[in-house]
Amino acid sequence: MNLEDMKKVWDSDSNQTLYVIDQFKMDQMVNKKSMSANRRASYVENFIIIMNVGIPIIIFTLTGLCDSIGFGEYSIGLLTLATAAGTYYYKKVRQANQLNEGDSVLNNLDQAIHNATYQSRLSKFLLTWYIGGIAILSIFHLILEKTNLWFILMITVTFIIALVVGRWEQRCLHDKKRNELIDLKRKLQE
Amino acid sequence: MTKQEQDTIFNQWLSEFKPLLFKIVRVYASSRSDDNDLFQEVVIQVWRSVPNYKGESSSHTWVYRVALNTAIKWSSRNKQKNHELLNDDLVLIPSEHKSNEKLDWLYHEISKLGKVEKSLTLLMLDGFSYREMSNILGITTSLVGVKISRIKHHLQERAQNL
Repeated sequence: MNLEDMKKVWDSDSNQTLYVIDQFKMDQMVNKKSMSANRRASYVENFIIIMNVGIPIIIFTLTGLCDSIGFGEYSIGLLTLATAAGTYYYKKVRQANQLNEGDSVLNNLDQAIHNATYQSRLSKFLLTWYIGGIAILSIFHLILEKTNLWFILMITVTFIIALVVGRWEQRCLHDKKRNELIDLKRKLQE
Repeated sequence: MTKQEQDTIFNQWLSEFKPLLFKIVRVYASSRSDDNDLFQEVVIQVWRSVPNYKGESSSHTWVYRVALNTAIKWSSRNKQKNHELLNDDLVLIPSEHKSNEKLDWLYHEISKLGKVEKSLTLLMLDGFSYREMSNILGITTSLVGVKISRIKHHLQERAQNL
């Protein structure tokens, strides 16, 4: 079979219906999935921002009413507000790089790589800054309170495990996805 | 654009370009559950792309681009699922049609190609010019030519064993 024959065989397929669409289920599916991944990402980002602005407000209000606000409260307040600011920044970066599926395959891959890089960086930011920051403040607070050394060690190990597991998840999920897209782009341009 | 306008254009495109979407799904998906998964993903992206369509290219080229972009990215993150789908999840149902041995062979050979080569083969068989392929893929015309030449050589070599 030469190429011309292949084209004839291929063209003969244009009039055949390989599948039948269940229109009702399709309409249901489109309605259900029309909440885009972008909107889902927005909900998560907005939730993180609201929580991290709300937490210091609650801490300052409760602590201010019951006692004076100390170093610990200020530190947590700053940490959470910085997390909210960082998340807002990454949200704006993501929105600026919206995927346009009608674009050329190469441009679309570039945008997908940008988005995957964004997700990886946001994950790294939240993991290192947030968990790391809370770990340092918590351990510092325990030391100041002269807590039992074994308890401090146990808490330290728990935070280290959380960081390691988080980094592993980030490498397996976000970095892997980004590397696959980069590999695809490379194959397209070879 | 209102949702109703978007739905109208989407339904029009779906009716007109159904065979094109089916071909892409058949080439990129390897199992029944993958067929449905990919088709749903393609349909969603085509629906979302409607407001972005400005008429700079034909609607056929636009839908082709959207479907290819979706299929290429889908296949890069999806391993074969091979799970049983519930009937409620099946949007796409294989229809009864006369089997064509040569056509089945062609689909089988194309599905074994790399993700990028699959898209080029589809475009070549659907009669797109090198320039049009270059616009759709975003690579130079000369690179399109080199890749197409390799694909033609490969398919003709495989066809000799048929």
